[in-house]
Amino acid sequence: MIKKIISAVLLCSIIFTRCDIERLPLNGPTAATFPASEEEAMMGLYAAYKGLTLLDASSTPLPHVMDNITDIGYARPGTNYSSPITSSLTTDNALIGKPWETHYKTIARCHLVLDHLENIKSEMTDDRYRQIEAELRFIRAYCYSLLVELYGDVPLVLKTLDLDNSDLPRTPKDKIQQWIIDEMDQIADNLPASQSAYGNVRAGRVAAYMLKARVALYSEKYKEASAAAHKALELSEGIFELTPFDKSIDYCNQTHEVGEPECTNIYGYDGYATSKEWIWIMEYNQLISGNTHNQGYYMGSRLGRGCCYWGPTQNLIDSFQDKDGNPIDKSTIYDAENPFKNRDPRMDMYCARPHSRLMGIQFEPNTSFKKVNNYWNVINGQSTTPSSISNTDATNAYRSFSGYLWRKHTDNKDYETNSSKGVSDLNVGIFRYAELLLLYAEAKIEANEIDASVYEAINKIRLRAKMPVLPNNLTQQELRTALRYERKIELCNDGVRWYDLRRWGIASEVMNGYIYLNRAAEPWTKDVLIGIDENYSPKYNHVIATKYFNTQEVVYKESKDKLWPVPQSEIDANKNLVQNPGY
Amino acid sequence: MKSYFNQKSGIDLFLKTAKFAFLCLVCLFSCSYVYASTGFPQAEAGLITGEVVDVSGEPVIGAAVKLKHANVGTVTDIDGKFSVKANEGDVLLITYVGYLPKEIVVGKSNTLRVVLEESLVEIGEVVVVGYGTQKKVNLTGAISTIGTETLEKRPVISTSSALQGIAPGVTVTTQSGAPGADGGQIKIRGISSFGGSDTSPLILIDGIAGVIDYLDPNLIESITVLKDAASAAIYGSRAANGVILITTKRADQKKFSANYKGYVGWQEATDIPKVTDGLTYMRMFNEASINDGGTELYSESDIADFKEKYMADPKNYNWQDAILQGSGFTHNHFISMTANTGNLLIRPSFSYSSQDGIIKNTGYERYVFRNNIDVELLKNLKMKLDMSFTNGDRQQIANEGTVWNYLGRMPTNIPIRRNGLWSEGWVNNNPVGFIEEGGNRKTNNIELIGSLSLSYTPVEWLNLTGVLAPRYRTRNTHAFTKSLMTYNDDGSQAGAANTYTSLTETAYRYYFQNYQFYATASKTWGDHSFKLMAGSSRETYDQKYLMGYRRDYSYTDYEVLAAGADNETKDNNGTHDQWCLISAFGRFNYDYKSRYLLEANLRYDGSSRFIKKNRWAVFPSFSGGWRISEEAFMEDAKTYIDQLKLRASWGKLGNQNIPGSFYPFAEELAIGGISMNENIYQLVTMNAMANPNLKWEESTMLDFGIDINLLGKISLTADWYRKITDGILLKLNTSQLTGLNSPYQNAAKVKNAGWDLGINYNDKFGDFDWGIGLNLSDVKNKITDMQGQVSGSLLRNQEGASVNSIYGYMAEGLYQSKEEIDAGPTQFGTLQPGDIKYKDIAGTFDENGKSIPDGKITEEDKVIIGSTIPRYTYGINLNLGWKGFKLNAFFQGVGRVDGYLNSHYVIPCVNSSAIKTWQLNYWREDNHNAEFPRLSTTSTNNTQNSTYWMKSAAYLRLKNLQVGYSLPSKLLKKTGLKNIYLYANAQNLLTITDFWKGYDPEIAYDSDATDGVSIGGGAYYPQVKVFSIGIDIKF
Repeated sequence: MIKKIISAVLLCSIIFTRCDIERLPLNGPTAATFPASEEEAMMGLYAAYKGLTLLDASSTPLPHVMDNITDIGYARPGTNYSSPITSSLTTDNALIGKPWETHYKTIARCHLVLDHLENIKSEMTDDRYRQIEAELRFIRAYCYSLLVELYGDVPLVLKTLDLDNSDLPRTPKDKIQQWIIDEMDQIADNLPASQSAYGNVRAGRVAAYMLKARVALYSEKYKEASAAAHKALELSEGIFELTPFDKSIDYCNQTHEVGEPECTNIYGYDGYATSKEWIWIMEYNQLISGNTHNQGYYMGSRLGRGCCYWGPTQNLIDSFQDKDGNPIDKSTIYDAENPFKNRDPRMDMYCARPHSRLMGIQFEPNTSFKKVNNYWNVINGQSTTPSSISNTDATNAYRSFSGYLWRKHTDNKDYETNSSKGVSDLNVGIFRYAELLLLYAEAKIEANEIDASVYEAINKIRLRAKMPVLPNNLTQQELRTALRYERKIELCNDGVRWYDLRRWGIASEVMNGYIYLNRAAEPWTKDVLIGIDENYSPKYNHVIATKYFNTQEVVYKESKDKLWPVPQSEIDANKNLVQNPGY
Repeated sequence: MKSYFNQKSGIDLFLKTAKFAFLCLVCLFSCSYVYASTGFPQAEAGLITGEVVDVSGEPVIGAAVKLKHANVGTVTDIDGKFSVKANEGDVLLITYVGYLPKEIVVGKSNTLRVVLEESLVEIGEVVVVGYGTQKKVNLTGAISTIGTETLEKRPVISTSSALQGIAPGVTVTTQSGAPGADGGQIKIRGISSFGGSDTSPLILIDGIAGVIDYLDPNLIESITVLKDAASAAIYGSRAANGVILITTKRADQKKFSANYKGYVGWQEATDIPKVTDGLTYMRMFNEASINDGGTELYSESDIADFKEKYMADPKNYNWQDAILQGSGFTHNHFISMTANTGNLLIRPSFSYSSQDGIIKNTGYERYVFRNNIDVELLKNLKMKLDMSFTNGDRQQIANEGTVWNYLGRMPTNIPIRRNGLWSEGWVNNNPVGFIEEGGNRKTNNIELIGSLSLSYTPVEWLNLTGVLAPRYRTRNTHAFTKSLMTYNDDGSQAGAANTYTSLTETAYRYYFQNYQFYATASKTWGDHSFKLMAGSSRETYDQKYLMGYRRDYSYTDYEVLAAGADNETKDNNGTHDQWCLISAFGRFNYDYKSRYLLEANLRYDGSSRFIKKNRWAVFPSFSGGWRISEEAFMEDAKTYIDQLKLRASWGKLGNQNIPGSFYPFAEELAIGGISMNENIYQLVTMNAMANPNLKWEESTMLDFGIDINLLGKISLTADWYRKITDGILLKLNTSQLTGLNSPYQNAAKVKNAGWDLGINYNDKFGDFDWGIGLNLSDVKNKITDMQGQVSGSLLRNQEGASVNSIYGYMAEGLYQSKEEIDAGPTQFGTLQPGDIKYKDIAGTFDENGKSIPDGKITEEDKVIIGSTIPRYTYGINLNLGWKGFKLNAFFQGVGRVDGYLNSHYVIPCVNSSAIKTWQLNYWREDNHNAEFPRLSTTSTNNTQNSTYWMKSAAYLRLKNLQVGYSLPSKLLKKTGLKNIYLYANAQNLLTITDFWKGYDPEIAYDSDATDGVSIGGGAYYPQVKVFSIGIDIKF
């Protein structure tokens, strides 16, 4: 009896424990054999492109955030955006951690395919193999091109890392820049000139030469830069070109009653669908979960259902030439009493200032405007006269902090959805033809190989903006000034200013002292300005200027603020990593 | 009694009770000494016969009758009769389980009638332990038991919140009073893990893992909390956070009985911050703006304008009143019966609970059916067949989190309709609009449990049990978010917080299977008793998830997917996951003369979550007890010391409930999409690194305890323990150069050391009976190893600190002058008098490694400033009865813990929020001695995390107050009813705390933020006061 019982106990126990305990993931493949086919390699490549869209701050793609921590843009004060301009960045700041993390994530996505691509070479044509490889190496190089600008020397990861070998030391910035140039030399010609069938989300040869030009220029290899830019311009023929501003350019320098200047045929939904200016873009699509952003909400006015998180500074507004092409301190047609008249049309195309129309509504940060006009009735054809609404752009405690807002990279089509978070899927351009022209011009000027093509490149941009062409026979310095004006104005809010300030060595000049803001939108007098310098930075008479403007004190220490710190968690996790000076 | 109420920490109360007990002891010792020394002349031994009866005159069968100081004794027979040889003057000691021992001095007469009084402290109790039961006196581990009568006193819907303050060492934190989410987080003896692993105890309902809040408290017969490793080790890999064993009620031997219980009640918020009006708001925000170097936000005419509108109808601007419009009505009904037909015993029951929220369109409704069946198939073959069905429906509004955030928002705006249109509220969020028309969120949980158990006793000393228990659960959520247009005062559209009206339906399906088999053998040879239990179990889990989404509803009354736009915006998703756990376990008990107790447990677990190499682990435990009261030398004290036992235990426990992935060892690829030229392409990549080396978290626990029962009235249990958890699964910061999210690693170590104490005193004076129960516990928690890393910013984990510490700057008051600012360190932004001054602690280091302040406040100056782990948690239970009347008051509290709020919840003029009445004392040139810093809307200095915004969140709460009356049985005789009990009850009636006014202190203890509650935030559904009246009828 007892024996039977004991054997029954044992038997039952065995039945239970004999069962297979193993459980494997059911929701997707594991990495063990990846990529096993051309199709898988392509899916891995797409993941690398998608990785680029993950880089944001305040739910806004980072390129459209960066200018707001320079002299031309200003963010609502707070730890993330005040500390970078007051020399008080700390190593745990959320903003500085993001590019490090996301670029290395994208690089790892490249390696996930690149490391094993050779194993499946026989699965596809040679051309296809070379193109996939070239695109992956291009994306990787682009990531490094931004990493070195932000952090200086960074670890150069060239294959998949695991926990045991991830403590790489830093590689000097110049070595990485040279490596990028070499990479582009090796892969550029394996790419098609452009990939417009893929909406230029996938990069083509033009993008590869443009990247090479940019890196060469930033590393002061001017001849190489101009040659690469030239090559890119040549390849662009018939593919990429500047898009003329639409007829709303006529509303520039005028008031809200007349109309709203819109640059959406380049930077808006229409622009990404039709403009030939975009060489390489990041595409967003609300049909893909998480593939949206809040750019419109953060840039928008209160009445435009946004939160005025950032906007241009007085410094930028005062940088715009008069419509004759003169700086305002030398202008005969600039009138400080009517400062928004007779200016470079791009002031109104790219920025919103008092008395203009923004998102269909009159924009007035000054509290004397109790009511403002809402033109949506008129726009929708429901009425011929605008309605009048309460002016929360002047009364909301979190109205624009600078008194101005960005118009560039917003689209009135977002008005309906602006107040909801995370539904905008306006694309974000990475490489634009206008920047390519300016890369070329700058490289030629700095190489002192000034010829007609330099004037031509800059003038193309000026003419598009209905600005007069440059005078002939300018000196290298005069051309440099002209070039720096165009980069500051044409590329404003595109996210290149932060790098320009550093590589031109003017950061310690413009990012020390004060940035001027006109939050109350009060009129000012001409004597606030001392002059505009050779880099097109306005100089203020501080005592007089503070009578009209509010200010942000800014501090820049070359020994600290030239570079961002490496995120503290990275220093902690990697014993071979040395922090940047000053942190 | 009033003096007890005022004790905040309960420590003094404990001391007083202890003193009292000690005095009693001394007194009784001296009495017994007198007894012993008054001897009578010895005579020839005669035969004494007698009878032992209880107070009602019924014979007591099996009582021990023993001649003191001699090894002579007998037991009473079936009529309660006994005969024993004794002389005049000898002392007879009569004992019986559940009764007070009695000493009788043999006199002239040789017949005796002994009346035993029932003990008020049940020491003969049998308690449920892992895979079996154990006599309470023979326990060697640290176990708390909670009986049905304790739970019944508190009319709550969530069983977890009923556990608050009841058992020493069991800390329950209730952060929310939301209907359907008012359950508490249960922590047993501190927090032994962080970084994501589950820190809640294993809940077993009749031996099967389950969800505590799906069980109606009325169904519970008893709850056993296994606190130390010795008791819990039998559950091995899931026991590291302690185990709670819940036993449901079963039919008893009575032929038939039935019971109805019901109550109705009303809820209201315990506390809401009081706010000032819009004029104060405008004045203060103007001041703040000017302080910031800006201009006035509101001009004189704005203010005059507002004043006019406000005076016309101030009610329009009262956000709190507009939001808190729910009825808060709650009612609960429970009916059960038991029937016994000889070899079939059934106990069907049904319970219904309904709770309306304190905001409209929110509530909870729950049905629980349960039928426990016992069948005696053969004399030695018994079957239990239990079935239960639970349906819980929670209704919330779509944007509930936002609504709580807006309770104290912009008092210059109208949060209601204006001219029939929803006003703009705050940034197009109109909370009242959200409540009424913003859509809803419904959560439905259905659980079906079946449990079949066969118990076979082939021979008297052996029992074999097999259990088969499938559990099926579904969780469906329905989130219907309506686009709610808001309008400016001129009737123009101000915008909608949600662009689209959308519906997301999710369906989770969980299927648990559980097989258990175990055998128990027990045998006694002379003074040696042995018990051996061995068994095995297999548990599997299968989870499926399905989601559907559509938007753009033309007909918003039809909240189904089919009514949404049938276009490319529709979306769906689904996943499937599994795990498996296979175990073998055993327990060995030995006792010698019921004096020396030994127990050993062993569990061998295999989990599918780890790779083969690390899959199996052994969890042993050992414990011993010494019942000193059973020793011969304690015989003199037997009349007043009912029990004195010392216990010691050691054991190992595991935690396999790691977060995130069921397959942390596998390199899983993620599938996604990318848009190119408006076409969507599929992509594949790897996001997270896998760690094949992952193992269990392992806790080692040491426990020493003492149990004392005195005079049949007092019971005391005290334990000291130390628990070290090693290999805590943590996402260590791995280098981001890998491009992958960090995997979990067995990286950290946490130590918990503490003690818990429970004292109960029950007594009777004539018709009065009264009792007091106290429990008090403390735990010191410390992270001893984190591989040098830290995690978290405000809620911080780092070596040397307790889990979830608060991290920030040391505030040193407010700057009073420009000179003081210039002399102080560089802080954040441009400082002004009235800004918070921080302590400059660190910078560079001297040769001894001591930090030298560097004149600037940086990240390095942050230190651990507080702890969110409650210490000195206590409960005090007072009972008073007189004839049919009963009064019960239950206090509960925390002696020491830090709480933290930031942003507009406490800082004036931050984030456009109404000014609280207590925020008016802010710094001005004419008010240097202020409580709050100068007003600012943009200061980055004053909003830094610092001690300035931290406060003690210790509290004492009158958790429950109940007055009841049982109708006299005379009245009921004619009706045939057995008992009617009527009561009135109040919960959370009173809270005493120094925490920020208007906020509940319990919101601060965030460890696993649920329902949007996280540290620093005050946007929560407040705990509620519940006033109810109820009836309990027994048939």
